Amino acid sequence: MTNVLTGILTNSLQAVFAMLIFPGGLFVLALGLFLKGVDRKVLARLQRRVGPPLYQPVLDILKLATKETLIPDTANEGAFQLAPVLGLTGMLVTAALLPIGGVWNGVTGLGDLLILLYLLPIPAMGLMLAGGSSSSPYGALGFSREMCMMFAYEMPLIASFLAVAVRVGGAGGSGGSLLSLPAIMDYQYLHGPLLFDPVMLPAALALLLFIPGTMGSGLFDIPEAEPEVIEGPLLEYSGPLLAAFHLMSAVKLVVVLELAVALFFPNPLVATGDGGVMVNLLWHICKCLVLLMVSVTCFRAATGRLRLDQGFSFFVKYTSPLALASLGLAFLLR
Amino acid sequence: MQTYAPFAMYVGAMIALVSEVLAFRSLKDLKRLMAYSAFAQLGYALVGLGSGETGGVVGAALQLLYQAAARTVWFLCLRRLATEQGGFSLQALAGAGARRPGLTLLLGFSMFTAIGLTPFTAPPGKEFLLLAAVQGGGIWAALALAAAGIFAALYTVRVIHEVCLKTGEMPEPKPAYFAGVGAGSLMLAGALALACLFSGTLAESVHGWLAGPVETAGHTAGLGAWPLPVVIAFLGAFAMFAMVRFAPKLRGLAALALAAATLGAVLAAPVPAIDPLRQLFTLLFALGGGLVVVYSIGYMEGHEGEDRYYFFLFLLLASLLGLASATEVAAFYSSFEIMTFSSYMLVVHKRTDEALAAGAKYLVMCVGGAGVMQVGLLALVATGASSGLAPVDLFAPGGLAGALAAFSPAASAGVALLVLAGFAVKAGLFPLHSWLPAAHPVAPSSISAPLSGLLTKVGVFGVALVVSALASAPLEGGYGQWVLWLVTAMAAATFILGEVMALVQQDIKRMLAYSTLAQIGEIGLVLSLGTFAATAGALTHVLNHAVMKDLLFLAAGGLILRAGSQRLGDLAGLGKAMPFTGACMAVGLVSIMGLPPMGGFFSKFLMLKAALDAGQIWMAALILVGGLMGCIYYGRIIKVLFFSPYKGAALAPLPLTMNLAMGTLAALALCSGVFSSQWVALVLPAASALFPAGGSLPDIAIHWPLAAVIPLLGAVLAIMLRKNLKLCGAAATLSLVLALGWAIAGTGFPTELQRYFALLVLALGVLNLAYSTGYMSHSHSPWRFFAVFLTMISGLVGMTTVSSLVAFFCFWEIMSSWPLFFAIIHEETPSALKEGTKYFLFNIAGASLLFLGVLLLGHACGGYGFADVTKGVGSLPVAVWLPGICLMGVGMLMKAAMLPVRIDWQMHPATAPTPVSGYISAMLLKSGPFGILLLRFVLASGASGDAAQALDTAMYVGAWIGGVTILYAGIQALLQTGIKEMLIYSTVSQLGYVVLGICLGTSLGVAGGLLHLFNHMLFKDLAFLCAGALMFASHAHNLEELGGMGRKMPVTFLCFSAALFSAAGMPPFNGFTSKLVIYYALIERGELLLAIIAILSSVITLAYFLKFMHGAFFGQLTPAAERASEVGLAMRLPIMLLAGLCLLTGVFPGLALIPIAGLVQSLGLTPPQVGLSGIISGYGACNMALLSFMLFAVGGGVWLAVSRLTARGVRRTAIHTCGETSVDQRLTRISAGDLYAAPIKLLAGMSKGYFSLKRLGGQHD
Repeated sequence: MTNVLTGILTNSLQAVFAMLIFPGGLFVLALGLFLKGVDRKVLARLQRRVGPPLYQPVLDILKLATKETLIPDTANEGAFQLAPVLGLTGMLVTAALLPIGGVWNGVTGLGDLLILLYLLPIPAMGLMLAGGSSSSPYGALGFSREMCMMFAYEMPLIASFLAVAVRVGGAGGSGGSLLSLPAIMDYQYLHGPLLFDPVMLPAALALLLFIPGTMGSGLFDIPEAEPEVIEGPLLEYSGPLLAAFHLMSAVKLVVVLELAVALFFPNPLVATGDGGVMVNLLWHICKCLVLLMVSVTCFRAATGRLRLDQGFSFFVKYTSPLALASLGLAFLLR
Repeated sequence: MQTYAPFAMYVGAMIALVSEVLAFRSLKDLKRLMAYSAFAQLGYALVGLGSGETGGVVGAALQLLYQAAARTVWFLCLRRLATEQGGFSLQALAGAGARRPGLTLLLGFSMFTAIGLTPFTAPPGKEFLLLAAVQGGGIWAALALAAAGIFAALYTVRVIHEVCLKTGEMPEPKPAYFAGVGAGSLMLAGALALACLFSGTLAESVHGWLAGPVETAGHTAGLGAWPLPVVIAFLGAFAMFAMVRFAPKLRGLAALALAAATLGAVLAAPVPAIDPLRQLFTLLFALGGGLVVVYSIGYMEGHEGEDRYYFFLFLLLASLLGLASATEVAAFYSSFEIMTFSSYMLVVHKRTDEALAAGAKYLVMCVGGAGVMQVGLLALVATGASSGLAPVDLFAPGGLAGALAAFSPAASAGVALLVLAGFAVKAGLFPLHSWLPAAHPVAPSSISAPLSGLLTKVGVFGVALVVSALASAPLEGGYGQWVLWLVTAMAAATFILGEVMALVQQDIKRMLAYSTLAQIGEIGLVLSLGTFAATAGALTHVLNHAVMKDLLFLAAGGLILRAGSQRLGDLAGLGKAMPFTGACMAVGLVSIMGLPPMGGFFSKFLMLKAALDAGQIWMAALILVGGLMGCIYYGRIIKVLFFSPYKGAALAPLPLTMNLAMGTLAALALCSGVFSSQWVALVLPAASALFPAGGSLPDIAIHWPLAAVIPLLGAVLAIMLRKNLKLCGAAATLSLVLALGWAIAGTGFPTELQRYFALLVLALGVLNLAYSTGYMSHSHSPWRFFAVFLTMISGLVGMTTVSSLVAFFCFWEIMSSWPLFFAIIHEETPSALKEGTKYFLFNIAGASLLFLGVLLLGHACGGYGFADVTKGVGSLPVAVWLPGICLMGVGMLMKAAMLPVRIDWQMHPATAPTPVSGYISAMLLKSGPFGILLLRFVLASGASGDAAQALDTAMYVGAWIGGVTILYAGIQALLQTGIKEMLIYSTVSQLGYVVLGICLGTSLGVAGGLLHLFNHMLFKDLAFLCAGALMFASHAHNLEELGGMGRKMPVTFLCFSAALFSAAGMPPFNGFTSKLVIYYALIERGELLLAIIAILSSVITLAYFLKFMHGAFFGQLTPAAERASEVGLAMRLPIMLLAGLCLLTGVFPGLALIPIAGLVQSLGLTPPQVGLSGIISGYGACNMALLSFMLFAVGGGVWLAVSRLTARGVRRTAIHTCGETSVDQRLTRISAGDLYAAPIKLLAGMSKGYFSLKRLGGQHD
C-alpha cells in the first residue's frame, strides 16, 4: 500500500516538475520563443533583410499582453476566450510528456505515441474553435482549411508513428509493436538512430514534411494564409488572447521538433552524469535547431504557398505513401 | 342378371351425367331443363338397382320418392310463376322473387332439396345408392354421379339466383309473402321438409319394407343421434326464426341466449365419444361462433333480412359443431351439406350481383368437393361394411388409417385424394381456392370472420386427418408420400398466391381474405410434414389464426360500418377516430405478423421448428420470406388506419356487443402469447391423438421478469394518466426507477453480461424518460410515446433475463419490431411514415435472419436453452452449428447498422422524438454488440480447437465490417446537415468501434469495445439530448436553420462541448480511453490497417462534431435561433448529469473499467489489469487520472493568467468585414452545409463522386 502511495506521489511530483519547469513550463516557453526568434532572424537573412532581434517574439508577447481585448459582438464569448487557453494548455502538457534523450525520461506511463497522437491536434482544435466562435466568415474559412489540412497530414503522422512502433517492437524481439517513447529511444540507443535505418527513411521524410504541414508554414501556410483569409481564425483576436495563441504556436513548434528528434535521432552526445545532462540538453537543442532550419525556416524561405487542394493532395499523393512504405517494410521485416 | 348389373350401374351413371349436362345446357327453357333433370333421376335409380346390393334398391326407392316430391313442388311453383311472368325461359322469370317471394321460396327450397341441400338433413336416397354402388365395385359410377351433381348444382344455382334472389325493382305495394302460392304445393313442401327432417325414420321404414330391418342406422343421419349442442343450435335456429316473427324486440336477447346455451352445452358436456382433436375443434367452433353471434347483435341491427341472417348463422353453427362431433359418415356428410348451404346463404345475404356471383362459385365448388369426398368416405365405409365389421369411426384417430389399409397402396392413395378433395375446397387450397377471395369481400363482415376463421378450419381438420393417416402408416410404393407431396405443393402454391395477391389489394376485406389463403397455405405446408411437432405447431396456428382472423374481420367490419367503404384508402385515420376498434385491430395485426408478445409468434416458431426438424429448410425459409411480405401489407393497414389524418365527422361509438366480441378476441390474442405454453397445451392432446408416438416440443414458455413487467405497468399507467403530461412522465420514469432498483438488487440474471446490460438499459431509460417529460410538451399524444418507449425498454430488459434462444428472440422483437416502429412514426409526418416503414421492413428482414439462425442453432444443438446450445457447441462438429451462429451474428450486425447493407434503411430514428432517437442510438442498437458477445462468449464458450478457429474467423470478418463501417458512416456523417441525421450516422460510426473491438475477441478488444459501448452511451445520449434541447427551443430540424445558439443556451452549449470532446476522444473526456484501448487491441493483434482506419476516423469524428458545433452554436443568430431560450430543468438536469459523467468517467476510467474487467473475466478471458485511473500495465496502459490532473492544472494556470490579463479591458466590436460597413452581419454566417465545402469537394473528387456535398436530412414535412 505504501509502495503504491509512494509511486503515485513520485509520479505526481515528477509530473508537477515536468509541467512547471522542465521540459514543459518555463523551459518550453523559453525554447519556443527562442526558436521562433531564430526562425525569424534566419529567414530575414535568407531574404537579405536584417530581421528583428532574437528576442522579438518575447517583446511581441509582452506588448500583446498589455493590450486591450477586442471581442466581436456576435462571438460566442466563452468559447472565444477558451480557445487559446485550450490550445496552449494542450501543448504545454504535451511538451511536459516528451522525453529528451540523455536528459529526461518523461512522465512515467504517459510517454506514449497514441496519447501524443491525441494531444497533438489540440492546437488545431483550439484554432478551429477560435475560428468558429469568432463568428467571422474568415474565421470559419480558416477553420475549414485547418480541418482539411488535418485530414491530409494526420495519415502520414499515424503511419510513421506505427512504422516506428512496428520497427522497434519487431526488431526488439518482443514480436509486437512498441508505442512507448522511452522504449523507442532505448531501442535507438542500442541499435543506432532510426534516421539511419534505410527502412525508416521514408517515414522520417514524411515526418519532415508533416512538421511544416502542421505548423502551417511555407507550402502549407493555408489555414491562416494572410493574403487569402487574413489570418483566418486569428483575425478577430487581439491582446492577451492573441498572445496565448502565439505562445501556443511557439510551444507547438518545440513539441513537433522534439517529437521528431525523439522518434528518429534521440541519441545523446555523452553519457549522463557529471554535467553530461547539460551537454546533452544543448545537443538536443542543436538537433532541434537543425531540424527547424530544414523543415521550417529554409522550407519557408524556399517555397511559396499551395492552394488548399494542392496542399491536400500533396499529402495524399506524396507524404502518406512515404510513411506507409516504411510501415509496410517494417511490418514485412519484423 | 348379375352379369348385367355392372352395366346397368354404368349406364345409369351415364344417363344421369348426360341428362344433367343437357339440363345445364337448357337454361333457356326451364321446362326442358326440368325434364332432363328429372330424367337424370332415373339414372340415379338405375345405379342403385344395378349395384346388386339391397341398400341400392332401398336407395333407389328413397331417391325416387324424395325427388318426386321435390320435383312436384318445383313443377307447381314454376308453372305458376311462368303463367304470371309469361314464359318458361330464364329471362322471363328473372326477378320473380321480388313479386312472389313465397312462391320463389318454395321453388328454391325444392330445387335445392333436389340436389341435396336443405336446411334440414339431406335426402337419404343418394347416400344409400352411392354406398351400394361403391360396395358393388362401381366407384367410377359413383364418381360420375358426383360429376353429375356438379352440373346439377351449376344450373340450380343459376336458376335460383335469377329467379329467386335477384333483387329487381320492388313493386309497390309490397305483396303478401305467400300470395299466390297455392295450398297444394305448400303442403307438399311442408311434407318434404318433414321428410327431410325425419329422413332417418323414413329411411328405416322404407328399408324395413323393402329388405327387412338391418343395420341402416349407420348410414342415415337421425336427429336423435346428434349431440346436445348441435341439437340446441339446430332447433334453436328454427325456434328463433319463428319467435322473432312475433317478438322482434327479443331478437338480440334470443340470439345471445341461444349462443350461450350452445357454448354452455359444449363446455358442460363434452361429447364423450369423441377424441381430443374433435373436442378441440368443437370448442373452437362453439367459442368462435358464439363471439360472432354476440358481434352480430350489434352489427346486424336494423339490417334487411336480419331474421334470415340469424337462422342461417345458427344453422351454420350447428353444422360446424355437427361436423366436429360426427362419428358416422352420414352424419358428417349431412352436416357438411348443411354447412355449405347455410354459409352459402350467408355469403349471398346482401343479394348484390357480386354477392350472387361469389355465392354461385362458392356453392358449386363446395358441392363438387363434397360430392367427391362423399364417394371417398363411402368407399372407406364400404370396406368395413363388406368385411362384416361394425362401422368404424373414420374421424377417430387411426380410423382413417385402418380403413385405408383395406385397399391396395395405389387405391388407398386414390381414396385419400377423393376424401381430400372436399376438405381442400373448404380449406381453400390451391387450385380449389378461388371461392375464398371472392366470397369474403361480399359477405357481411360478421360472416367473413367465421368463413376465414372457422370454416376453413374444417378443411384443415380433414387435411390433418388424412395426413396423419398417410404419415403414420406409410403406404408401400410411396403412394402415400406422393399424396403428401401433393398437399405440400398445393399448400405452397396457396401460400405464395395468398401473400403475393394480398400485396396488391385495395379492398381491406379482400386483402384479409388473401391473407387467409396465405395462412392456410402455411398451415397446410407444415401439416403435410406429417410429424407430431408439425401437427402441434399447425394446430396451434389454427387456433391462433381463428382468433386473429376473426378479430381482424370483426374489427374491419366495425371500421367499414362507420366508414361506409371497404376500400383501404377510405379508412384513413379511422384507427384513431375509433380508438377501441383500432386498438383491437392493431393487436390482431401484430399477432398475425408473428410479432411477440402475441400468440402468432409462438405458433409460427413451432411450425418453423417443425419444418427444420423435418429437414425442410426451404419450407422454413419460404415461410419467413412470406412473413416478410405479410408485414408489408399488414404494415400498410396499420399505416392507413393509424397514421393517416382522419378527415371526417366524429363517429358514433360501436354498439357494446361488437366491442365485447372484439375485446374478447383481442384479449385472447394477447393471452395466447403471454401464456404461450398453456395455449399450446390446448392442442397437445389433439396432436398426440393424431400421432400417438408423440414427440417433444421446444420449451416456449416466456418468463416475464419483474424488471420487464414493471415498465409495462408503467406504460399502462402512462396511458391511464394521459390527461396530465407531468404525471404521465413521472409515472413512466418512476416505473423505470423501480425496475432499476430491482435490477440492482435482483438475481434473475443468468450471466454477468446480461446483468450489466440491464443496468445500463434501465439507468439510461430513467434519464431519457425524465427528459421526455419536458420534451414531449411540444409534441402530441405523449402518453402513446411513453407507452411504446416503455414497451421497448421492457423488451430490452427482457433480453437480459432470458436463458433460452426463443425467449431471447421474443424479447428482441418486443424491443425492435412494432414498439420501435410506433416510436419512429410518432410524429406521423409523411417522412416519419416513410422512414418508419423502411425501418420496419428492414427490421423484419434482419430479425428473420436472426430467427432462422435461432432455429438452426437450436435445431442443431437439440434445444434452445443457453445450456443446451453451449453443450452442443462444445461437443458437436463445427459444420452443424456454425451456420446458425453465423446467421444470428448477421442479424446482430444488422441491428448494429453495420455495412454492407444500406445504413439509412437499417435504422432511421431521425423522425422519432429526440429522446427516443437518443435512446436508440445510445442503448438500443448496442443490443447488436451485446448479442455478439452473448453468442461468442456465452453460447459458444465451449468451443475449442477448430471450432474456436472457425468462430474467430467469423468474428474477424465482423471486425472488418466494423472497421469499414467506422469510416463509411463517419464520412456520411460529415455530409449530413440534418441535426439528427448527423448524430445518427455518427452513432453508426461509433458502433463500428464497438463492433470492431468486440469482434477482435481478445481480452483487450472486448474490454475496449465494452468501454466504448459504455462511453458512447453517455456521450451520444448527451449529444442527442442537447440536440433535442436545440430542436425544442428552436423548432429547427436542420443545422442550416440554426446559428448562434451558444449565446442563447449556454448550458446546452457547454454540455454539448463535453459530448464533442468525448466523441472526438479528447482527453480528459471519456471517449479517449475507450478508443485508446481499442487501438491498442488492434495493434496488439497486428491489425495495423484496421488501426489506421480507426485512428484516422477519429479525425473525421472531430470534424463532424465541430461542424455541428459551428453550425448550431456559433455565428450570427438565425430567425429560428432568435426566439430560442434555455430549456427547462427536467431537460437540463439529465443533460448536465450526462456531461458530468462524461468527464468523470474520462478522468477515472476505472469507474467503468473495473466492472468491465470483472465482466471480461466472467466471459472466460483474462482481463487486463485495471485500476481507477485506467489500465495499469501492459498494452493500453495509461494513467488518465494523472494526465487529467496535468491538463487541469496547466489549463487552470493558463486560464487564470489569460483572464487576469483580459479582465483589464474588453471591447465589443463588429467583426472584420474588410472595412465595408454596410455589410448585413446576418449574411456573414457560414452555415453547416458550407463549412466543409472545400474538403468535401476534395473528398468527392477522390471518391469519383461517390461522396458529394448534398444537403442531406433534416427536412421539414
